[in-house]
Amino acid sequence: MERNDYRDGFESFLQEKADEYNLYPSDRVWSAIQQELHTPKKWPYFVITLVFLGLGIFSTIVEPANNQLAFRSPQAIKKLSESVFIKRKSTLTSTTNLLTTTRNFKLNSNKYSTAESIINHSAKTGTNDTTTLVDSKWNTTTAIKLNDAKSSSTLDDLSLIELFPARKMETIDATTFIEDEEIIQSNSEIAVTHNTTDSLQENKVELNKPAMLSSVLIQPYQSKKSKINWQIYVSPTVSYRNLRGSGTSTSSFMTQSLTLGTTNLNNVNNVVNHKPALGMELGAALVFNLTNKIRFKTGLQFNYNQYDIQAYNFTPELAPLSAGGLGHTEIKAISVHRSKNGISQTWLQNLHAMLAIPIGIEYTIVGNQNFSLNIASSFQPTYILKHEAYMLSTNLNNYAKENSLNRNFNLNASSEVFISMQKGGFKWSFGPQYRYQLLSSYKKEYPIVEHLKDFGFKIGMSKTLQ
Amino acid sequence: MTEEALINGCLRNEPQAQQELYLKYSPKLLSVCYRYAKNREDAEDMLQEGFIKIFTQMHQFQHLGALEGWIRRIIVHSCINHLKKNKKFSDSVDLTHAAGKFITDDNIPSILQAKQVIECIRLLPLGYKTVLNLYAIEGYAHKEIAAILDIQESTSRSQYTRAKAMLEDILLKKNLIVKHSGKNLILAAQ
Repeated sequence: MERNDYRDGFESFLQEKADEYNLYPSDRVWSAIQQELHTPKKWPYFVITLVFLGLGIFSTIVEPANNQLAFRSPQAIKKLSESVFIKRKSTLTSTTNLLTTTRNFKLNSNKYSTAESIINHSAKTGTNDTTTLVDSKWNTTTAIKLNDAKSSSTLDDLSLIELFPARKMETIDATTFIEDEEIIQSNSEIAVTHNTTDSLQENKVELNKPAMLSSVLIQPYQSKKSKINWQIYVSPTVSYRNLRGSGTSTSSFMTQSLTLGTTNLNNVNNVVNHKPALGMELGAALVFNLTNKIRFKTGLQFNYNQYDIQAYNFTPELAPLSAGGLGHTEIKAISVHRSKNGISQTWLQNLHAMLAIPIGIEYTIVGNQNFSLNIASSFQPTYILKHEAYMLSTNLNNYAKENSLNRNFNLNASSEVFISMQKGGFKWSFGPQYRYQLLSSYKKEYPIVEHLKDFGFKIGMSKTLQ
Repeated sequence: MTEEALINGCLRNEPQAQQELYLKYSPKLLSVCYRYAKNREDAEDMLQEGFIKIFTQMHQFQHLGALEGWIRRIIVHSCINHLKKNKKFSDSVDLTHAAGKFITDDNIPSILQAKQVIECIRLLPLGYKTVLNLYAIEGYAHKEIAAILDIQESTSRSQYTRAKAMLEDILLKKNLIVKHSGKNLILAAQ
């Protein structure tokens, strides 16, 4: 330490006494230091937990849909059909006292009665049924005769009910059939003859288009298509920032620099040398189909932004970080980095971890469900989980950290263009995106304004909720 | 463990090295903090902040001077920074007048105790105490103090003059120093 002023014996006396005096700190000081230095930060675990939780929910929702897909395989369907009817056949034995019922079921392209409903109807209306089901696709024909004596109250015993307890007398969108089986043509009709008299009846079901049967049998258990999709996405990004503002005072360094004839060094952008670094974005979202082309989207998103700043190591000195003024105390932080003219060059890393709730809209420009080109934008209220950033001092000389000037909440806006395609039961989307932080990273007391920005390439996977 | 090994251990973030460094310097550094702080708790907070800074910035130590000097400088800055968070600090340090009275009696001083001297320093108003600590004990120049505390250099000088006078008065009252030949203060220890 340099001593530029004369000091007499009084100062030496004070110095001597001060050096003699020792105080022993309590245990809490070391514990707190240890905790600060060696306790892992909690936010990464929080984020990881959140992501896994999202994936867990996602997979839980997707699981039943996958089961249904497996259920639609020809073998599974055939097996199911046989088991249903064999059981029914085994419970109904005789074929006496037939009642004839004829009823026409007209199934148009929008609504189709299910096999289940047909069987339900048969069981309810007749005591003896003969149901002929023809499936030309697999060349199977099943004829069932239902006995009057034992079938009058057998519906509840049917394995159909056991197999599909939640589905009774349902209707299905034709689009579902078309999408899944590609058998049924639009406007195709199925006439189901069901003659009814007051007496005993024979219940005979005939399908004018037997090929339809497989769909009819298969699809009763397909629910109405949901308007909500689950989506998870990840986006590697290149993070950067925009800086705006100027120094508030002219320091000796600034004076020195200005005398060199450089241009407007008070502008922060003339002093700072920074470069982008890799960041990322990770999220889970719910997408609501408003129309065929427009979707509303919201969810939870984790953003990680970082960039590097060129600096120079220097001995500790105080760096002013706020202007102070009426009612405000000027904030200074200890700095061991200078923006220029230090001992040795170094690169400082600024990083921000954020949790956001994106609220946005997606629009399909062109394409269909299998392949489409889309645009999207969102508005993202954001909470800053971690803000580890070196701030340029207001005299533009130093870099220092001062947490009290960081903003905890912020707003981001994002826009993207992406291609969406259906593959493997999932809808995949990928395309470039841009995110911009609308408010400064720092509070208004800090005169330099920083807006973070991220360029990324998003990869998303989505699935329709059941 | 040698100082070099301590530094290297701290650079590797080794708890053992950090603890050894802490045990070696914390008693002396807490007394530094205590001279600036309002009470013992504040002093420990200052010490804690300072040591975290020391351990996280250890890679910045350039071996240009003694480690203790570097550490002490960071601790002092931590103390000032801690004080600056208090709004009243800037008012205190800009205080230009203080009622100090010199005691004229020639009492024989008792055995000087470092603790008593430190406690006398702590009796000074915040602004006086800070300037006196920085100038008389830490050895900062008035120009540096002015930059650190955001005051004029002349203010620092006048603050110190008044602080010194007030401290002498207190020390006289406490019989820690005596007057010699009517005007010169003679340290009792000498």
